[in-house]
Amino acid sequence: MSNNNCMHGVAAEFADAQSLKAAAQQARDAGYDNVDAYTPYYVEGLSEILGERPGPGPYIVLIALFVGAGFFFWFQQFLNTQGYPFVIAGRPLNSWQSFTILTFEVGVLFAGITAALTMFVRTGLPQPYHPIFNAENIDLASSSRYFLCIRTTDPQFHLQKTTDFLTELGPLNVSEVTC
Amino acid sequence: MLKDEKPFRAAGQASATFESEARPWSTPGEVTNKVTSVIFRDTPLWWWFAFVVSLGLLGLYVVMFLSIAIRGTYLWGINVPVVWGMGIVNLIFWIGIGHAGTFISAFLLLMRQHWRGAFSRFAEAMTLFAVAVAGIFPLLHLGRIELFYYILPYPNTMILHPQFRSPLVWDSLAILTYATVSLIFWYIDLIPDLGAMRDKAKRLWVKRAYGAAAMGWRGESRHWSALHRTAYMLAAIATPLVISVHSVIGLDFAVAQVPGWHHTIFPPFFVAGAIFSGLAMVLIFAVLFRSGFGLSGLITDNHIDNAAKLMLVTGLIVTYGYLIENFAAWFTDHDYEVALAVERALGTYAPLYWGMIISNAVIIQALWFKRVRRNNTALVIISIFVLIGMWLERFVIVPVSLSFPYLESGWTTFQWTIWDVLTIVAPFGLFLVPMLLFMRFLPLLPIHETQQVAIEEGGHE
Repeated sequence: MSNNNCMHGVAAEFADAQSLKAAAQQARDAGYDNVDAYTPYYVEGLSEILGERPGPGPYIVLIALFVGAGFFFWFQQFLNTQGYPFVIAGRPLNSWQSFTILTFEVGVLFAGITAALTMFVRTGLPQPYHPIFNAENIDLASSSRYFLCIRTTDPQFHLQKTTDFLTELGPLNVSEVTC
Repeated sequence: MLKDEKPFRAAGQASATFESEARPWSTPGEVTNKVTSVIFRDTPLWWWFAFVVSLGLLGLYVVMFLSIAIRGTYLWGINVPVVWGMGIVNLIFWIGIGHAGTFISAFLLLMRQHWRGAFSRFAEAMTLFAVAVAGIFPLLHLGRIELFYYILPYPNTMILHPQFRSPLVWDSLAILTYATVSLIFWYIDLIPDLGAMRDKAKRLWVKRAYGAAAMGWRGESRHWSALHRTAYMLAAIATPLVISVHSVIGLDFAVAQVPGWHHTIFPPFFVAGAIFSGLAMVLIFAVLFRSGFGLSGLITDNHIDNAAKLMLVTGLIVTYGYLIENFAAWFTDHDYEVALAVERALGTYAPLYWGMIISNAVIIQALWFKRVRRNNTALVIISIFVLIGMWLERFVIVPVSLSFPYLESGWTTFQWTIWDVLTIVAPFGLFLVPMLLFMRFLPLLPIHETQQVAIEEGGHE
C-alpha cells in the first residue's frame, strides 16, 4: 500500500455477477462515467452497461490477413517468374494454384500475430502495477468476488457521496483505493 | 437424463449433459480453489517417477539427435527407394497428436460446445509440445541440419529462394504458422488463469513469478471483452489452419507419383487420422489427470464420453479411408496400385497392415457402447491401441508404399536399425518432460471458462 496522498477511486465488492451488473447499471444511471468492473471471468453484457465500446480490433485483423496473404502471393509469383525463374518438370513458372496454400498460411500467420497485438494494445498489458491492486480483497477478484470501482477522475466524484452511493447498492464491502 | 443425452447439442442446450452428475464445484470460487490446489499441493510420487523416466528418454533423445545430426541419416535404415523413413513417419505421427488440441480449443469453441473446457487447456499444451517434437524431425531428415534455413524464404543477395511449387516447402511454413498461432492462442487464454494463480499463491516470489507471467492481469471488464473477442478471432483462424496443416502433409504424398500416395483422398484422410490419434492422447491424459490429481469433478464422465464419441467418428472416417484406398486400387485396375494393395495385405508388411486395421478400425467399434465409453481403463487401452494403430498407418503409408515403386527391380523392404527404434521411442521424452512440468506449474483447466460454465449450469443467479 502506498501513501494516502492520492486516490484512485472507491471500490465496492459484490458476491455475484448479477448484483455487480445491477450495481453497474445503477452507477451508470446515476451519471457516473469513469466506472470500472473487475470480475473473475467474462461476464456477458457488463461491458455494454459500462459504456465500453469495442475497438477496431477485428477489422485490423482482417486487414492483416489480406495484407499477409496478398504479400506472400505476390512474393511467390515474383520469385518464380522474375526473381529466379527455373523450369521444373515443364510446369509453368506462374503456377498460381500451388501458391494458394502458402498464401493462406502466411495470411493466417499475419492475422494471428495481429490479433494478439491488438489485444495487448487495447488492454495496455503488460502493466505490472495498477492502483486497483490496493483495493481490499482484490485478490478474490480472480475467484469469487466482483468489484465495481468509481474513479476519482469522474466529474461527479465526491469521496463521501460516492462512498455512500456505493454502500446503498448493497455490496459486501466498500473500500477506498489509493494509488 | 443420461439416456437422453446427445453428443452434440445446439448452443444453450449443453447444460442437460451435466445435470446428472454430482459436482463438487458449483461456484467460481470453488472452481478456482480446485484447479489451483492441484499446483500448490505436494508433488505426487507418480509424478516424480514419470519425470525420471521421461528425463531418461530425453537423454536418449539427445544421443539420437546428436548422432544423426553429426554422423548422418545413414544411421537410419533408409535406402533407395525407401528414402523416407522414421523421420517422416514420426513427423506425421507427432503433428497428428497435436491436432486434437487445436481442434478441441478452436473448432469446438466456435461450435459453442461447453464440454471442451475440460480438455482445452491441456490439449492445447499437448499441441504445442507435440508440434515442437514434430518440427525437429524434418530438420533431422534434411541430413544437413546446419543448413535448415535454406527451406525458409530469408533475404539473400542472390534472391535465391525455396521452390514454392513443392509441398515440402509448404510444410515448413505451415508447421511454423501452426506452432506460432497455437502458442498465441494458448497463452492469451492462459493470462487470466495466471492472474488467478498469482492471487492464490502464498509465497511472494511465487506471486511475483505468476504475476509477471500474467502481465499484470486484473480482470477488468474492458480487458475481458478484448480477450473474449481475441479468443474468438484466433479460433476462427485456427480452425481452417489446423485443417490446412495436415492437409499440406497429405499433399506431400498426394502430389508425388508413387503408387499408394497419389490419391486425392489423402488430405482429408490425414486430417481425420490426425484428430483421431490426438483424441486418443487427450483421453489418456484426461484419465490420468482425473485419477492422478482428483479432478473427476471437473473432467466428468460426460466429458470423457463426448471425447470418446468424437474419437469414434474420426476413427470411422479413417476406416472409410482404408476402404477407399483398396477400392481405388481395384476400381482403377492400375497394375502398381493393385500390386501394392496385395503386397500391403499379404506380403512382408502384412502384420503391420493388419495390426493397423485391427487397432484403428476394429477395436474402436467398442466405443459404440456406453459402458465402454464410461470405463476409464477400457478407454485408456483403446486409446493406446489407436496410438499404435495410427503410428502403423503412417508406417504403412511411408516406407511400405515406397518399397514398391514403378521400377520393379527396385522393390525392397525397409531394414530396421537401432536408430530407427530410438527415433520412435526417444521423442516421448521430449514430449513428456514439458508436459509433466506443465501439469505441475500451470492450471490444467481454463479456470475462467470453467467458472462461467459453473455459473451458467449451476443455476446461480
